[in-house]
Amino acid sequence: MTLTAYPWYEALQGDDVEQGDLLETCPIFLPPEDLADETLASATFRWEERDLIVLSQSCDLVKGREKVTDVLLCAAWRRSELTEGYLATSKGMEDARRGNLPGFHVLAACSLPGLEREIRVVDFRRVYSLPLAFLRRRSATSGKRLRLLPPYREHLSQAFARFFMRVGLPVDVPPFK
Amino acid sequence: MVWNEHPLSRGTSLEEDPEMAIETRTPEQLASVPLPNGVQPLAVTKGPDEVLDWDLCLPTPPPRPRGTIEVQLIPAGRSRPVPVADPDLA
Repeated sequence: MTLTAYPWYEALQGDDVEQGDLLETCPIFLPPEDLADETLASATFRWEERDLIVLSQSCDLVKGREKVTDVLLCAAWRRSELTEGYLATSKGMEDARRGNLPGFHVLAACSLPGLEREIRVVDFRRVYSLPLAFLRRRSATSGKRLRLLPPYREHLSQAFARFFMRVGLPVDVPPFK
Repeated sequence: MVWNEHPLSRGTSLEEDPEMAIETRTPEQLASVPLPNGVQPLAVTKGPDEVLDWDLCLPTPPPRPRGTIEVQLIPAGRSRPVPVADPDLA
């Protein structure tokens, strides 16, 4: 078995959107709190730029047979952006790589020509949704972009599911020593 | 006890059978329960060998370009669910 038989990413262009697609420098929109109090005719939304990765299932996003109108996305930070806290340390990144920090998932660096990217960390606590039509248009106009490939895509999806379905026990079985 | 002889399988309520009372003691109270010889007391805090940290988070996201956008809100009513096709007709 050679590792090159299992590349992490492929480059693509166009408006096709699947689970594992990376959408870089994509805006997310945050409504103001006072919008919850009353119906306004206009408002000031904050926007922030994010690198996002698609978590919605690919089968829900097939063109012409869409089963969702909004796409589930998570933030993907570049390693160099993580300058504070445990993930700024090699020990923290190693813990994340081993799956010991279930709120995070490490993606390999990419060396595809023109799409060289550093290691990224997907943040399962920062979840967003954007309309599929918006993402299609954005994808179509953003030029070459990256898609996470199987089995790394399913590994990401499984890690997200594991984090999302976590159950904390108020009284645990005592440890065996 | 054979499981189908259990009071619950006979429709006995938990209140009627003291043997089936719901545990209401706190972890601290449970920790003070006498344990059989050779059994270590409860460790209610996270141990050094507990490797999973479910709570680690990034309180402040890394700084990224940000701004504001003025939006006009147009009422569109309630959204409708995406119609589900009959799989037998597909």
